[in-house]
Amino acid sequence: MEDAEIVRLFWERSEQAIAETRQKYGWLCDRIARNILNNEQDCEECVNDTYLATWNSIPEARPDYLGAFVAKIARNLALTRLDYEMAAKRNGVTVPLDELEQLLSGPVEPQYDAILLADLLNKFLKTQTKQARVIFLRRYWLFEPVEEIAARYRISKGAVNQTIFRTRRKLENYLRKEEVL
Amino acid sequence: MNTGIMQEALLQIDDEFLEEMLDETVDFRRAPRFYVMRLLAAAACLALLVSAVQAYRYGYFRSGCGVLIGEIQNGTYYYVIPHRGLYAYTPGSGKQRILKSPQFDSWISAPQGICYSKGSKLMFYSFVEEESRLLCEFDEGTVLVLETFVDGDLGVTMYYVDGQAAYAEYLVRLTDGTRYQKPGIDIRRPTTAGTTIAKTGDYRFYIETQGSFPQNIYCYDPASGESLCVLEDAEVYSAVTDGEFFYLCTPWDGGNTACYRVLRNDEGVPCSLELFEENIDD
Repeated sequence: MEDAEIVRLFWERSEQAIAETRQKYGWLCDRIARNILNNEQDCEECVNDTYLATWNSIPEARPDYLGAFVAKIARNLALTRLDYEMAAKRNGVTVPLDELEQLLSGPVEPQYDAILLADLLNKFLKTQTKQARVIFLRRYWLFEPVEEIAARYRISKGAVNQTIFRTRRKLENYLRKEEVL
Repeated sequence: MNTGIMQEALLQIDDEFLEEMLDETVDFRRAPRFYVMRLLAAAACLALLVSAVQAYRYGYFRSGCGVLIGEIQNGTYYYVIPHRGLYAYTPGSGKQRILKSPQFDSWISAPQGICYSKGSKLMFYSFVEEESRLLCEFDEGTVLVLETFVDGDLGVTMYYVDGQAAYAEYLVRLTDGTRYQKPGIDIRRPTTAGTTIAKTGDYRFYIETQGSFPQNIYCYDPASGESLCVLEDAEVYSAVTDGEFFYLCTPWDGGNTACYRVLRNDEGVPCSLELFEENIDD
């Protein structure tokens, strides 16, 4: 079913919308949850919470890209749950947070908030090649392991690592140039 | 926490980028393939260009007959196989390439070697040394005619061709390359019209009508005033003989040069041409 059709079902408050979303994007939510969380039960709860959050969000929002919309919710929920797990020391870290910490190891200028940073990120990503952009986002947005990225695109692990490293270095330079760091 | 800001920022990435990331049909291996294709295309173009240059060098773009009659020196027949080069054919020994096509524009044989021009250079290939040396450089000249000096040395006159007329430019001594200027001499190029196609000593080989095929080749004996038919139903364009072998050239249908042995009767008059080798161009 087309995204617009599913969104229309959400707007009509039809429970069929959940079933269609599960069918079309269930794998995506599941993958995001598994990439971030290490616990089967947590993953399942996270995915179910995603459908509920989507159900609650859609009347206010009318997403053009339902997949991206659902993925964002799943990611946000999984990270929130991860924060909780880490605080309770119930789970090991499975996402590459260290790499991003290294990227922003210096102090961020106080006037920059997440919205401004997101704007810069979008501008930066536009300047990158499609391959660099996709690999970078798969690693830091979807938290996909390097091995999976390499297998998905049938390129070597070394090539993936190199792309990630270079893009991260470029991003760092870009943020310095924009006086974020 | 800085990482927290970054994670929040990542959450607000444009949906367009996320859709692109989630597109399962993306295959990055296509990009290098595209470059490989471009590389292959460039290589193919380069190969085509090199082939064209080589084809030009070997005369594939030049107009004219496929095969032209050659010259005989000391029992060896020198002739050009188009696009391949200048060959020496000795009956019984076969042929050997002397010069490759790109090496010369026009040529002429002498008992000592081959004199040939390439661009503005007049070169001489010695049969003894089996290598070429530069005789002299000139401004222009594409037709070479062998001459004999009064002292017996061989020389080559180079003619500048303009339409049907050829103007003698220089006379060059083959032994040392000395160049003598011959300005203002206007001679007509030898015409192919006429019936005599080859001669040896006092004997003339002729055909009845120029331009009709097939023809009979006759040998005219000036001593008796009689003619003998030496070859029937031949397709004759040009011929040359040294009295022992007779070379017959037909340039059409890909070109062909046949070698005949000249048979003589009891009086020593040429009476027949016996096929020795059908096609020495192959």
